[in-house]
Amino acid sequence: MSIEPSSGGGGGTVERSQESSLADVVNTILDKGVVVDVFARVSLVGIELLRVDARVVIASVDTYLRFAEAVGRLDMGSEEPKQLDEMVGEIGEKGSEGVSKGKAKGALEAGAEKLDDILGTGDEEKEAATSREEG
Amino acid sequence: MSDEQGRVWVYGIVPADAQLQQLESRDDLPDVWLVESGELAAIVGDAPEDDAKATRNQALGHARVLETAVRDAPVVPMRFGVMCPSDDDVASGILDDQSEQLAELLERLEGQVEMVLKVEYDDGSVLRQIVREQPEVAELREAIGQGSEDATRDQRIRLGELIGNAIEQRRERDSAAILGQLEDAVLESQNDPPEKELMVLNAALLVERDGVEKLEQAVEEVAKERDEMHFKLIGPMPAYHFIETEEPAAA
Repeated sequence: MSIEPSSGGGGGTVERSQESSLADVVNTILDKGVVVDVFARVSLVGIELLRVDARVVIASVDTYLRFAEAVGRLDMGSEEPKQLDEMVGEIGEKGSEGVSKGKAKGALEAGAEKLDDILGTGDEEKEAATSREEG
Repeated sequence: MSDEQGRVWVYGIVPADAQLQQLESRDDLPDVWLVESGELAAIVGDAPEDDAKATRNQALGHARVLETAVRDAPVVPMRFGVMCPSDDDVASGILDDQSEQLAELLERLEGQVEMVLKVEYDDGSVLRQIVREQPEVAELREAIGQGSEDATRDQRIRLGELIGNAIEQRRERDSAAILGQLEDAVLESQNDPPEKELMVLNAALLVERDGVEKLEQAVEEVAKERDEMHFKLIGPMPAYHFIETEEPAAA
């Protein structure tokens, strides 16, 4: 895997990845590709749990409350955008320097973390997969 | 080995004369072999012993095998989960039975690959912009800051809803603009539904095999103008989104 964040220029970051992560492709491999129904397909109960579906999440009270919370914590005066989780960690402790853009995780990425939880549960072979990714 | 277990997993179809050096040289992928018939070959491997294990590892393995193969040859990907009783059944039931369509698809995909572009808003930047642009959001934000959590619940829900709507509007505007800017670098594009709240674009892009670099440059250009977004470009991978497939008959 190669990741080359773009440098300088003040633009948005570009991450270049030669290989997909599971979250990147799970919907694609479940929905796309040629089907041959002559033969049995594997039961998809397990894999369906891995599906990424944010449509359910977006228009919910829970989401709205998190948006409101994130907006409440914004430092509107700051030139350098601060990351939300940093703000969470420094309530009432204004003035620290912002962390480098793109490294910190925002509070709104909690949804993504929830997904990671799902991806990681119910599979006893997770460690093998992880070491394979790294190797 | 496949016969002992009685089932083989079918990853995808390639031309029989494909030289899949990268697939052969990788030792971090599931073991696979080729079943050939006529001008076609299927990339197959051992199926998991029981379906319950066909989850994370199998899905990642499926995607990785196909991504690796497509670096050297056109690949028709099978949908996740296709299995056959034996190598012979792969040859007769898939390669021979569907030889015409598969050969046609492979010919069409010769020299084309799919790239995936996922773009997300940086939460701090986009929320700050929305507060600046929408007076009602700014007012609610101020009002909520002074009240207790319980007392402001309705206001907070209203604030969140306004933000959700604003993000939705931006998403529509920005995704169309980005795809428009990339038009010259791609043959076809398909924008899937967002997978995260702050996802701007979740697009599959069909490009010429030797056009990947051009796309990379185009994405860099687009990103330069968009401080408030993170871009992730993934691939090449098989042209999953750009092959016609028949849905299995609804039972």
